[in-house]
Amino acid sequence: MKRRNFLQAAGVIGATGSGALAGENPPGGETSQAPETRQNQPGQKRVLVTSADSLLGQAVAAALGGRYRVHLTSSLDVPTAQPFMRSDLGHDESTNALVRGTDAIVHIATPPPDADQYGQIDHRARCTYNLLMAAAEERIETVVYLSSLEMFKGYDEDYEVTEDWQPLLSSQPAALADYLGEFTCREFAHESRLRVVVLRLGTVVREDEVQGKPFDPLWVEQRDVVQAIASTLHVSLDDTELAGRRWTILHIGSGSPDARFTSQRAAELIGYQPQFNWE
Amino acid sequence: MNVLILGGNGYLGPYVVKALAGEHSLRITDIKPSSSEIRQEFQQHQFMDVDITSAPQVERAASGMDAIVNLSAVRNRLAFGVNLHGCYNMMQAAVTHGIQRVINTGPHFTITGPNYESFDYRINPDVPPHAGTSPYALSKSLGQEVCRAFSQNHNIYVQDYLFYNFRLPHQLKRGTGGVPFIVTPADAAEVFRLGLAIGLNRLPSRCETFFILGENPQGKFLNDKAKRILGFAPRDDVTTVWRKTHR
Repeated sequence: MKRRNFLQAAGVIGATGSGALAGENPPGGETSQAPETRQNQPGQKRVLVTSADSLLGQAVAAALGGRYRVHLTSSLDVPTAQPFMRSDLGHDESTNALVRGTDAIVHIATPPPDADQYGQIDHRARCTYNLLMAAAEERIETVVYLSSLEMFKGYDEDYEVTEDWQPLLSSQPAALADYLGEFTCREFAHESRLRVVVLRLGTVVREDEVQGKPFDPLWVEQRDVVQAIASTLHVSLDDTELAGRRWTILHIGSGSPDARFTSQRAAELIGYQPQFNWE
Repeated sequence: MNVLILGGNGYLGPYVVKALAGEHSLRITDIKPSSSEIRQEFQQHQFMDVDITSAPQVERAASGMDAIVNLSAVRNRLAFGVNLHGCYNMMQAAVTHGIQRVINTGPHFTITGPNYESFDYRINPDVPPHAGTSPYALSKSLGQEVCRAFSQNHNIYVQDYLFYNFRLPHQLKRGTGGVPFIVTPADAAEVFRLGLAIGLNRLPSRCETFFILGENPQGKFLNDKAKRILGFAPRDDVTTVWRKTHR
């Protein structure tokens, strides 16, 4: 496994290269940042993270906490030290209230654990619609939407599939729901003032969970995903090339030379450098 | 042919039923019961109360059918339930019962929303869909994408008929004007008869979209694909509404 110092270079984490990412706390469980720096600072941008009940949502929230004023939401109650508001992302004023005053939204969009076929599609499509409509109305700057690379698995493995390739539609609810969510986001990017960045993720795993298992070229380590999200926010909310775009799609995979899909564009636009390659 | 009609009690439903009743055996369904007059007029056909957002109800209604025509549409806060999940339920039922022919419907902005309509001419249905962000348009567009996904993964042929504005013949008066996408309900209904009759091998792909409008003179939206492939030949002259009143 290779570890590089990208996050430090990108300014996402401190000079020790640890602490901001969930699961990367140094020995003793302390973070590299003094606790007070994790409190709200004047001028800090405000970021809403959805699906706070999910493992990824919690990891993202922990990672962003040092740099942004993070608040969380989920359809389920979640015990957390960070500001939290339960929301079903309905088509009503409560969703506007949820996003009001936010600079960016990280829409993880993980359906509730007990979601059936209907629930998976509903969460990705209708709830995403309601969230983005509220975001557009409240003039939120940036939405980062997490999607999946699963919809490209049908292409011949010999192809170098990039973000310019069209998704291959599936009638399976989870994959279909991912696609419908992207479709919804794209319409808002077209028609509103929202800036939307879609991060298509491989199969998100934790290194310790997959240890000893045969390598899957779709794997991407959760900490690399968190890095990609943090970097996306960093460059989106600053004056960069990405900030001038209304609609951006980036593929986020592992650093393995055998990775199924290239993350080259993410490297170019957000400086993404995956740290885990399972070599 | 045994034909399931979903949303058969809406605006277009009675016209479609009338157009198809002589040639097909219809199962006419809607969430609201049909009037006694309609039931009386088409008593040789079946009537069933079906909520399209209920997968079991749709699956039960599709049993024994050869084709499904979906006329359901909702514009209010239930839009996603009916327009998106309804399509999912319909396509699942088509898979379950091996139904190969599906006709879905929607407004023109299922495909060509404001970013087309506000800018372009010669707009045809074979363009990348951009519905815009109204809940009605986007939920219908997502429903159509569901149909497309199923057609690409199952042996199901979907025809999607898109409409904009309906005018009755007595409303086709000089100087009344209107959006450049008008058709009479009778002409609109005729296209369903054509769509059930066409050989599936004559459709260019398993998912085809058609604009259904009369001979609108502006050249803004085009109906030539429906004419070329389905043999659509609108009878009512809708051009009258754009003619000057002083003649």
